[in-house]
Amino acid sequence: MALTGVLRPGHAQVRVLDLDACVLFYRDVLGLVETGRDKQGRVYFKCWDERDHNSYVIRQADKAGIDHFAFKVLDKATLEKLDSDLRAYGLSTERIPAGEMLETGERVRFEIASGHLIELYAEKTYVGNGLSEISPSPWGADAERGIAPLRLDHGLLYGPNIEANLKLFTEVLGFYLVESVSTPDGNGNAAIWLSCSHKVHDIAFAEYPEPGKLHHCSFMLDTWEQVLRAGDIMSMNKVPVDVGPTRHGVTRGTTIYAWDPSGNRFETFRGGYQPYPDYKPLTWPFENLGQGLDYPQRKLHDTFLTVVT
Amino acid sequence: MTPNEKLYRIKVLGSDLEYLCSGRQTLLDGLKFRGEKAVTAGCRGGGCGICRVQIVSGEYIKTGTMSRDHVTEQGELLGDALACCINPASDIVLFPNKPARYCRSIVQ
Repeated sequence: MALTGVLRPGHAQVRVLDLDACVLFYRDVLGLVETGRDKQGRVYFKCWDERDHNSYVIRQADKAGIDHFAFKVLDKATLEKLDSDLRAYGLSTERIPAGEMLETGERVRFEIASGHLIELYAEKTYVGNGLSEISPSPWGADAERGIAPLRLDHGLLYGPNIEANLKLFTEVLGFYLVESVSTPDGNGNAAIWLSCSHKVHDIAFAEYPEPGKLHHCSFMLDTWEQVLRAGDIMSMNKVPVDVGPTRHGVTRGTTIYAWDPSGNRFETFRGGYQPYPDYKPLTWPFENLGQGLDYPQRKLHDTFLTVVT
Repeated sequence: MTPNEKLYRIKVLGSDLEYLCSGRQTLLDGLKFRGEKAVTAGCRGGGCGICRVQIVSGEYIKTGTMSRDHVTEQGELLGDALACCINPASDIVLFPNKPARYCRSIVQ
């Protein structure tokens, strides 16, 4: 299939309470590549195998959590069309000028029903992955420095009104539903996994009473052994771990969840399958949420459900 | 003040739990060594608010940054604190599990 429209998660901007501790964590423990700092004091990172300048940006604040989650779209014409479609749908959109974030073009920002700010952009400076574009090596030194994930894969955002998000993302932004957890009465969705690509999800939402909350940003690894290695690195660095290593029933992903020094949760995972838009969505009844979350233990980890920033 | 190695007595009101916590540990870490769950552990980084307690008496040293989402400046003056962010500097009496209003499960 041709990937057009919304391509992939582009960047997440996250608030941290202690910038220096978090820079050390993200750079040396998670093993992201620091690519810049701006006049506002934001610190920019990318995963080693990503090609664009940045995918994870942190700023010092007095509250933790996520500022916005952005997707890259195919080109400027697509950006204009999606902006116009969003407004026709009834949302108000804001244009953030090119350069407000380092090396990033104009962004279209809008607030969704769960209280989160989502952005779309078409341009971000290409910096490459540190390997040659001619006869490249399969990996380099950055691939072994810390946990060293390949990419920012997706985010899971917690907030109310996820049914409205489902409608917006599928009807306007071109996503499709891959999996869901039903509400206890079976009539609605407690959580949804949406894809704009060949991945099991590019974004996910779970119904939660408070708006705008971050459950986690997720970073992809190459193998199950790399997930286990990530767990070792977390323990060596006393990173507080939430769940895992284990496998999810939902998406089949193998995973560890843990928290950065300011309490923002992140995931290091591998796996899934390769859905297409013509696939039927998979459903997990609410009473089987434990197996959906932790397939071997079939356990509803309490902190997974209650701890957000 | 810097954290020291003295052992302080931490009394958890609403239960008969009293535990010793070194000045080198956070109140949360001291409790977990006992295997006690009187104070819920969350992110352990000051961001999520789930380990919020109310200090009734005693002194502490702040060793972590507490999100203002969960401990406002006024709340802090009234004794709110995140147990993962404070080390005892004296014996302490506290109310446990006054979690931030945001900490509600998707499991209703």
